[in-house]
Parts: sequence; structure tokens; C-alpha cells
Amino acid sequence: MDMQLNPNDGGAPVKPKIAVVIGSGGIKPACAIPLFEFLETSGINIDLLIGCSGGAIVAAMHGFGYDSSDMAGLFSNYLTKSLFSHIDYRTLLGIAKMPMGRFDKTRGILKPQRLIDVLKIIFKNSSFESIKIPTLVQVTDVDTGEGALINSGDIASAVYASAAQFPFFPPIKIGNKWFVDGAYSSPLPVLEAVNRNYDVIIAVAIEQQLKTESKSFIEYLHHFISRSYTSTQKKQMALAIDMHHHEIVVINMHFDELINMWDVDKMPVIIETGRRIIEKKKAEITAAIENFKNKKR
Amino acid sequence: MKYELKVYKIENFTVINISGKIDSSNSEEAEAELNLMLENNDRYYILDLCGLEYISSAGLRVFLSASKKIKNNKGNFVFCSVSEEIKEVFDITGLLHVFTLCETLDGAVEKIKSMAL
Repeated sequence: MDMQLNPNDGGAPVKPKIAVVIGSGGIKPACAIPLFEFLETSGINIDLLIGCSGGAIVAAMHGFGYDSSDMAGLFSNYLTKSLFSHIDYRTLLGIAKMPMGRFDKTRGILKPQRLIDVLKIIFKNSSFESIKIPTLVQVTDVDTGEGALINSGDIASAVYASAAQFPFFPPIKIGNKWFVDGAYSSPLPVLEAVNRNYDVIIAVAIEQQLKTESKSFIEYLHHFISRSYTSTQKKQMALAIDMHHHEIVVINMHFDELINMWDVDKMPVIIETGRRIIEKKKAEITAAIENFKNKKR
Repeated sequence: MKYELKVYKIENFTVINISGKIDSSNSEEAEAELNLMLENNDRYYILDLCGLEYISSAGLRVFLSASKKIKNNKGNFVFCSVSEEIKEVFDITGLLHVFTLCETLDGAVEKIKSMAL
């Protein structure tokens, strides 16, 4: 399933091999759109995209060939609140062990079909084989808790799996395994780029702005899950930095307000936040690339 | 990019003052220079970052390398006078809870004394 992409085949390159990694964070990873604009206008080619959860949607969109204006429009037009309001009452009854209820590992609190259908429209029922920039999608095996990367088969299924925050959304079967949200195993899969020997790794980390006080079971669960993602992300980032050979440019996207998965009306705020933060990081990205070239001279 | 390392003693503890900017353009040089400063009989160090303006991931590896060297010698170290910007870099890279940070040089001296007991 996970094809090894070795960027250094055929001798030492002068140009660095560049990976862009986009972390989880609902619709907020759309803040990476200005990064793509900057790289494109600067003539910097991306050799590998890796995405997790909401970041997988953005990474796959860019890998698929959508340009920046397309991507913002797709988020606003398709990823609407209605995708998150189709409750599976049998699952809820099953969780409460009530009559007529049913719960097993294939079910979630929300019915997934609308989201899967939207992803199939966005990715035009295509497979990874038709993608323009090599793209890896981080998922988690629901049975083992182990992380996995998908870069073959149906894009929509892989992206759904990566974003399916269990138990809200049910897992999806790909091959002979059931997969859920990649953030459970690697919210910002930088280590995957390190393991593949990419020279300059641009990592877009989404800082989760949360309500200060949880007022319901769902809010508390979401709060706990988000905090544990952050903790996992930081531990993996420290290891990635220790293992890497050149530069990992971490772009920490901080949002001043709470933005839920369905707050597509806040897309302008998301893009503008990304643009403001990317502006400050341009010199760092350019320096990482230039320093690599200078070392190879 | 330019950086500068200065070494001196406070109460028998080695203080290394690190200033300037460290990234992949100078990290190998900085690592070699810092490692040289750690090759003495001392086990406890204070890394004073009051003049450190910028550090990239390559620069952070210089600190990780120094950490391994010091710990391998059964020693320990603390950072002090870390700016908010550098602290944020430590935080987002997961190193804030790996390293020990003290607000001031005086505080670092007290902390390292307690570690050396």
C-alpha cells in the first residue's frame, strides 16, 4: 500500500527534495493554500505531499492538481455543516445498549455517506495513480492503533479514512483493514518525510484553539482528543528533528478564534491567517533551500 | 548567518553564552565548536541564550547533540534567558519539556547546583 518514494535515486541532487506535510485540524489546514501560492510563484517544486485528516484533504487536493482558488471554493461549497448532522441513531442506541441499537467497529455516531460522496465529487472518483504530485495520506488502523500511509487506490476513500474522527465518523475498509483518522497515530506526519530522506520539510502545524471550558460530553471528548493529538505531534516532531539531516521548517498556524469543522463561512479568516503567517516564514523556507544548494556546491 | 559562543565560569560551573543565529548554514560549525567546549572535566553546564536571535531545526540539533554528549558523561545542563521567540520554537518542536529552562542566569546557577548535588 505504501510505496517507498526515494528522492535520492540516481545520484546526489543539487536541488533539495522538498516535502510539504500538512497536519490535522478540521478545515483549518486550508490555511496552507497561501503556502502553495508562495511556492508556485517562487518556482519551488514540491516533490512529496503528506497530509493527515483535514490536512489530507488539502494535500490531496493540491496533489490532484487543484489550484489555490479552486481549493478555497471546494471547501466553501462542499464541506458544509450538513455533512456533520446526519446522526446514526441506531449507533447512539447501541452505545447506550438500548433496544434497536447496534454498535460495532464499523459504525460511528454520524453517517458517513454524504462526506464520502462529496469527497468522490471533489476527487472525481480518481485513484492516486492519476495524481500530479506524489501524495501520502496518513491513516490509523482501528484494530491495532498503528499508523499507515495510503498512496494507491481510491483517493476519496483514503482521504475519508484520514479525516474520519472515530467514534464520530465510522472507520472505512480499505483492502482488508479498517481505517480511521490519521491524527490518532500521527497528527503531523513529519517522520514519514524524514524516513524518506527529504531534504527540506515544510511542516504546517495547526494549533488547536479550544473552548476554555467543556460543557458537554462531546465537547470534553473533542477537547481531550485534540490535546492528545498535540502531545503526540510534539513528541514526534522532536524525534523528527533529531533524526533529520537538513531543515524542517515548522509553520505553526495559530488561530485567534474557535473554528469548527463546519465553519466554512470562516474560510476567508483561515486563508488570511495562513497568508499572514506564511509571509513571516518565506525567508526561512528560502534560506533552507539555498543553504542546501550551497552545501552541495 | 553569524553566531558567537563565549565560555566562562560561575561558581565552578561552565556557562556557555550563545548569541546570533544558527541554521543549516552554520550549524555544523556551531556543533563542532560547542562540542569542543564540552570536552573538559565538567559535567554541569549552563547554556545562556540571552543573545540567541534565531534558531532553525538544524540549530536545535546542535543542542540535542550537546545534550547527548553531556548526558553521556553523566552530567546535566540547563538553558537560561531564553527569549519568547526561541521558547516558542522549543514548544512547537516538542523540546520545551525535554530541556530545562530557567528565567535568569542566577536561577540557572541555583538549578544546576541542585542537579549537581
